[in-house]
Amino acid sequence: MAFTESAVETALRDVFDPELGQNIIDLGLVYGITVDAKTGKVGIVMTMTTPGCPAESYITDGIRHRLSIMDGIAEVDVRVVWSPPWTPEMMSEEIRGYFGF
Amino acid sequence: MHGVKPSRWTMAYFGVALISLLAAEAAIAGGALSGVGGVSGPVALATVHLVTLGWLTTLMLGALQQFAPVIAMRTLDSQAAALVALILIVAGLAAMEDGFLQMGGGAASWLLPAGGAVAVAGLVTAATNVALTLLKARPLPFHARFVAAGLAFLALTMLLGLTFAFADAGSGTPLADRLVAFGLPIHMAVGIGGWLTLTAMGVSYKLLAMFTLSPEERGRPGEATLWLSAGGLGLAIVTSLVAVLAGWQGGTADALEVVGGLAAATGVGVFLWDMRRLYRARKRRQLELSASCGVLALVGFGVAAALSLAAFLHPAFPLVKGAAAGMLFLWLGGLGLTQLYKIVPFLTWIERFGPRLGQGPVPRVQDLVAERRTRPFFLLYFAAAAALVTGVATTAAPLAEGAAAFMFVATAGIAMELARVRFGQPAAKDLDRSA
Repeated sequence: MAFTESAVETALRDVFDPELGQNIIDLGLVYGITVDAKTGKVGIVMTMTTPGCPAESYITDGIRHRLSIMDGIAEVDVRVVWSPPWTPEMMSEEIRGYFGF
Repeated sequence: MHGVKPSRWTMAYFGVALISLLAAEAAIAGGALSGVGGVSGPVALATVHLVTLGWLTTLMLGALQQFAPVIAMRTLDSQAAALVALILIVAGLAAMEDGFLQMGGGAASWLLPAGGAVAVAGLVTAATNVALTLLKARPLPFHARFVAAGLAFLALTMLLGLTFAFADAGSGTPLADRLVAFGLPIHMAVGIGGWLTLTAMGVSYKLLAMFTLSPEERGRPGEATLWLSAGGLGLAIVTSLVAVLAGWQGGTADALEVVGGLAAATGVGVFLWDMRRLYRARKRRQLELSASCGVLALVGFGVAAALSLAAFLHPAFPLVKGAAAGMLFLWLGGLGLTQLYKIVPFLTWIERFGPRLGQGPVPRVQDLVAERRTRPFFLLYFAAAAALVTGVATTAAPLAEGAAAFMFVATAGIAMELARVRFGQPAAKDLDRSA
């Protein structure tokens, strides 16, 4: 069964940053999603709100858990990068409004 | 690099710290500071070390075991060393408490130096563990340099404390006897101002920026804070030590002490101004309880620093006591309690719910706390701590003791809320998010 970037993005809204309490898509933590429907491979490039975050491994494992239950996904590669560094301005407009800026 | 593992024993450090604080508050409410011998008496000394070593130092070391790996982006150097250090600190503190209470009793005089030596072994182990973790992040980042300066002052605090303990047990030298006679203010300044305050300033810069979504980069004001406060305090303390040990007296020594003290006070002033700048630049307009009550701790720091400067320039014993109480309970104690209310839920989430992320309903960190229920306890704590400082500074013992009783109630309330976070179950309504 084919899956799309959009479907992966929707699924990733179920994974959240525990400190900020918002999902990683709306926080702007996910920099890129690549899918290969033929091989079932998904690539996620993302960052954390702060380097050295103790929640990092739980968030990346959470992504793997969430995507692994989707039909057609055989492999999930999550890569954490620190450039460009995350800033609050990367949040979606709705979440920025929630935090009040 | 795949994130850092949380420190396994940080929660145990926090538990010991909170029990020590509650015991100290109960002792003060029972008249520990105004009993036989006043603030230099055995019960008072036992109580003061419950606060400085049992509560604040244990709390700080526990927090640093979590904080240093975040700065260094490396897991703590040794989890086993963290446990060994805690056992030694608790055993040493227990012996020290007994030793203080039996001071002058002859037969038991070995308890204080022996307990002090065991506690120092624990502190050295914990501090080395943190230092080795930080060294992996060379060149040290901004926040880590505050911690490094704090650890250097911790070493000096331990050295002075041990000297006092051995001298009291009758194994002192003439130089040690001079330190015992004149060095207590130096021991206090090094421990409270150097170790605890400098480290707390570095931790505040990092944590409060993270929790308020403010810029972590502090630029020149941050550098000025570090150099003025650490350098100024260092100059004043080295001058005082040389003056006591070598009998150096006169205009130059006095001038250097004043210059150092004023520089340190200026550093604190720049820090508080920069903290105001940090809060004003925050993106998280609706503050969580830990960050909003953290403001009260910073205000308390301003009050305590002003009292300390006044006591430094015009030494008067009640003023010195009031300044110390302000630093210990308004600033350091207030900051410690408020940040525990953020760190404990976060670490609890990581341990209990982190592994379930992406696999089903998981609460957020915010779902683990009950801020509305806890806020009155924090307000009571700060109001009572302010009353305690007033009582100590004006030698109004009933006011200080009554205030300590209210602080005990507030601390117990906060501790119960933390226990509920740690061991309770989040409400079902908070579990309906995630996959």
